[in-house]
This record gives sequence, C-alpha cells and structure tokens, in this order.
Amino acid sequence: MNFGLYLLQRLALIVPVLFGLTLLTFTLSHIVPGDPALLAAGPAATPQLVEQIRQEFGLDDPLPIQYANYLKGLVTGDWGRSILSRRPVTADLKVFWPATLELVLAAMTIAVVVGIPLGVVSAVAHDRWPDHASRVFALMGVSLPAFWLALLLQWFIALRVDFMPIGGRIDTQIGPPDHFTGLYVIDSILARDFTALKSALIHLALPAFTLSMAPLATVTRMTRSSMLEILGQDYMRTARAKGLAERTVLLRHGLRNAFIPTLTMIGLSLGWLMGGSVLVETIFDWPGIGLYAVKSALTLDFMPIMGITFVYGVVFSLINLLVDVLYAFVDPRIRYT
Amino acid sequence: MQEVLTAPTVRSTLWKRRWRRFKQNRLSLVGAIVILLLVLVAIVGPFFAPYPEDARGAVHISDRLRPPSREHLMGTDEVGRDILSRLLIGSRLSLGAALVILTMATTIGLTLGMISGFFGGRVDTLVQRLTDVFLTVPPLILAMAVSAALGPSLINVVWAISLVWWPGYCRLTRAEVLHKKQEVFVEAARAIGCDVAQIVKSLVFCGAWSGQAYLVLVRGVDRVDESRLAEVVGEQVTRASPEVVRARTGYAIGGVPPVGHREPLPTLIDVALLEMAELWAAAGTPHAVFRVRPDELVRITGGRVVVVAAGR
Repeated sequence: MNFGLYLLQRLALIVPVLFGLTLLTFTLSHIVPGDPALLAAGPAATPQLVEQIRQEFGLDDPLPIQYANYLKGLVTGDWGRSILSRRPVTADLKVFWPATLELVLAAMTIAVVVGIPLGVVSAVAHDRWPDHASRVFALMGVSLPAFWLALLLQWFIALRVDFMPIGGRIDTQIGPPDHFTGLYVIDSILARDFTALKSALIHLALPAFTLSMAPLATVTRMTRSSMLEILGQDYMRTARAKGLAERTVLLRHGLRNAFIPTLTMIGLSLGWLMGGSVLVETIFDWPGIGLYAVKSALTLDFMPIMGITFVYGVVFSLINLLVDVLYAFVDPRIRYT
Repeated sequence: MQEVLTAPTVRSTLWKRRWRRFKQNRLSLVGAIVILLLVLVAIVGPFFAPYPEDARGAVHISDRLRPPSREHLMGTDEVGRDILSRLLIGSRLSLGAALVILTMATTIGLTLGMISGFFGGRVDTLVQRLTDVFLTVPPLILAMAVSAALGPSLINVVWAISLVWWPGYCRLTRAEVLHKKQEVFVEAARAIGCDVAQIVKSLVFCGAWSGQAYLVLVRGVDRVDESRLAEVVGEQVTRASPEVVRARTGYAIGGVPPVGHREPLPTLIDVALLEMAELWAAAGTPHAVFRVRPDELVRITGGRVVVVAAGR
C-alpha cells in the first residue's frame, strides 16, 4: 500500500490502542486496594469529610459509570482533577510535561549524537584501545545509578564551578521566555531572548548529561554489535574493492544496514525516558512529570494517573510510528503489507 | 582385546570448537569467571553471612551507619543491619528473580516478536498494538495491581515485571526479523521448499543476534533493581491504605519499624531503594525541596531540616 494510506491507518489505530490502554489502566488502578479520599482528607478527617470527598469526585459511582464519565471528559477537554491537590489534571500536565519533554529530548540528542559515532569507531577499531575505552564508558553508563551520578555532578561541578546551576530550569532572575511550546530552549530562540537561551541551556546541561548516560551506553553497544556483524560481510569488501571512500563504505554500506536494532533501541529509550525519571528530576529540581506520576500512583489519584497514561500512550504510539516509518526508510526492502 | 574406537560426533566437535574460540578471547574468559563467581556467591553466600539475623528483620538502631570495620566488613545501614550479610543473603534472591524475569519476558517477547515480524500484515498490526498498550501501562500501577490481586510474593512480582518488559524484547526482535527476512538465505530457503518452521529455525540460528544478546545479558541486570522495587511496592500495597504507605516510607528514613511489621527480604540494591523511598516520603510533605538562598539546597525529611548542599 502506499505511504499515505499506511500513515493514515497507523494514526487511526492509535485510537483503539488508547482505548485499550485507558481501560486497562483504569481497571488496574481500581484493583489496587486503598482509598485516595481517605488520604486526601488527612489524618484528622471525620467520616463525613471522607464521604464528602468521595461524592465530589464520584468515587462512589459504579466503575463502568466512572469510566464512561472519564471518557466523556476526555473528549470534551475535562480530564478531571487530582483528589489530593484539587488542581485540574490538564493544568498540571501543561506545566510538567513540557519540562520532561525538553529534558528527554536533550538527553536523547546527546545519546544519539555521541553514541552512534562512538559505536562505529568502536566497531572499526575492534579490540584496540578506542574500543576498550568506549566499552568501559558504556558499561559505566549502564551501571552507575542515575541518581548517584546526578548527586556527584551536582556536588563536584555545580557547587564548585561558578556558572553551573544546582538545579531548576532557568535562572529565577531571568525568568522563562514567552510561552510557545513550553520548551524553554525553543521558546527563547523563537522569542529572540538570548539571555534566557543561555540560562536554559546551562540549566539543561547537567540533568541532560546524567539522563543520557544509560541510552548512550545502549546506543553505543547496539551500534557496535551490529556494525561488527556487518563489517565482516562480503559486500563491505566489494564496496572497498570498488574504490569507494572509506567513509562512504562505512556509512552508506555499513551503518545503514546495521542501523535497525539501534533505531529500535533509540525509540524504546526515548519512550522509557519520557516516563519521567523521578530521581534525576528531583535532584536537579526539574519540575517534570516523574514525581507527579509516582506520587499519583502511590496515592491512587485516579485522574492524574489516567491523564499521564493517556499522554504517554499518545507519545509512545507516535514514537513507534516514527520508528516504523524510519525502518522502511533505512531498509527499503521492508514493507508493511 | 580389541579397542572399539568411537568417532566423536559432529555435535561434540562443534561445541569443542566453540569453546576453543571462546577461550581465545581472554576478556570473555575473565567475564565468564566473574559471572561464575557471582553465581557461586549467590549459592553458597548465605552460609558465610556473619549476621544472618540482620537479613531477616533484626534492627540495631544504635549501630546505624557505621563505616567498614572488623565487625562489619561493609559497614551498617541506616537501621544498623550488617550490609555484607544482607548482600550475601539477598544476592540469591536478586539473581534468582532476575533470571526468572528474564526467562519469562524474553520467552514471551522473542516469540511474539518473531511471529509479528515474520508473518507481517494483520498479525503484525495486532501484536504491535498490543505491545503499544503494554509499553505504556504505568509499571508501578501494574506491579501494585498484580500484588494486590495475587499477593505480594516474589513470584507474583516477577510476573508483574515480566509483563512490563516483554514489549521491549518484542519490538527489538520484530525489527530484526523484518530486516533479516529479506535476506537472500530466506529467499533461498523458500525457493527450495522449506516450510515455515524450517525457515524460522534458519532465522533463529543464523547467528546474527548480537543486539539481542546484549539486551538480554547485559541489560538483564537492570531487572534485578526492578524486582526489588516491585517487591517493596507490593509489600506496601498489602497494608491496604495509602497512609500506611507513607508510614512505611517514614520507617525507611530511620524510624523504628511498626509492631508486627514483616521485613521484606533484602536484595542487592536496598540502599538505593531506601534512598528512593526517602525521596518519595519527602515528596509527600509540603515544601519538600526548596532553596533557602540561591546557593543552598535544603530538604525537609521526616521532620528534620537538612542542608543538602551549600555553594559559595
């Protein structure tokens, strides 16, 4: 089938996926024992207060009714309110989500831009010192706990070096740029606000670096493994025999064939990072979705849980779609008939 | 007397050759030895633990946070338990849980991935959308729900985590199969009349799955962390109400455990996990982390104000 039709079909399929996802999450979160109204009411609550909260949030309605109400609210733009904080979920998401998005995009950019060349170099210089160095680096990236690295960086860099901030997204004196996307780096470029740009980038540096370590390691290792397989192939010899420049040989004939598993891992890492990394966000005081998601999950705050899951579902579906499209782009033999 | 000479079978010489090749790479050999040592520790470790009761619930708050010494070779944690003993006894659980999780998740994931990639079309679409759903379900909720429904034992936790991780393996396998089924050898197999089973077998054994091997073996260690996380969460869930969840994490900061409390079995990343629990507990209180002055990070934890970091 042609590309446009395929794209439309995939986009249309997101709807049943979201439906299944919300149904599953709704069911699962109601299986967990615990009463969010009780927690929201606090330790000194009277039964009347708890009952009042339950009425207010419709927690006494039968479950199918609650789910139907949730779906109705979903399409009309009312995504419910947090039982704990009473804030509308959309307002919270609008603040937290772009922050995580920015951090994750920055981290993955670092991982991809550094990881792929490193993997290629590692494969080509197989079993020599660049290979060993990058493998040790990759191993560290995977083994060091992110929060520990974050604390270390904060301690040894942010507190010693003058211009490196301890945390936050932007210098409080400068303030965020005019809001277009919620991503400070992009917004400050669009608004030509270059002091904000500098501040946003500096604040992004340490958290993005910390978060990028694990995907960097994965991307490097994946690229290296696939490249090693490919480098021994006959067609690589042919390409060199044809007299092609080494760079063309490596990139067009080698990396292109080796790229599929790496691409998959990039997509998966991107999706997983989007889930919010509580610890890094907490340590660097980054107002992202990680803490919000964990708190909502632990206090069984249904509406935030559903809201986060919904957005996450859309984002991950889109990422998977992009990766699938890129597969066909990298390897033209792949068809999705 | 005649000696019957039996020729070595092809199979045994194949393995002999593989072993010789493996031996040639010194680094691989070192790695294999390290893993064997780790497995050995897991198996016989508990017999050597100097303070086995520390792994079963004893607390000695007066001895908390001691550095390594002759009595406690790796020091003590924040409620006074000997870290070495907990490591030795807990490693068995960690490795066992990780192994089971890996086996289950990879079996489901690899199989579904191969089916999805090989058959394509409607099957692919169906499996991939299912994968999308499971990729995006919040793992914490899944773990808690499974614990609540099936009880907080380690087995059920293992189930929960496998459910979270199989989609990753599925997508990776599917991608590789999509790529490899276009190769000439598959076309050739089809041309000579191989049935589906034979073609799939040729794909599986084509020997080009190093990406998968990396993900399963190297990143498989991540499952160790998660099995612990899910277990603690599962424990908390069975106490049935959110306030007890907060009370539990309050305990993690160094308070006295409540009466009748059953200590979850220790595993390798206990310290890291308790750090997490501390952060969660801090998040539950208002003004958990804020900046008093631009250079200082202050954290309010369990009623105490702690200056975490101070700059110039």
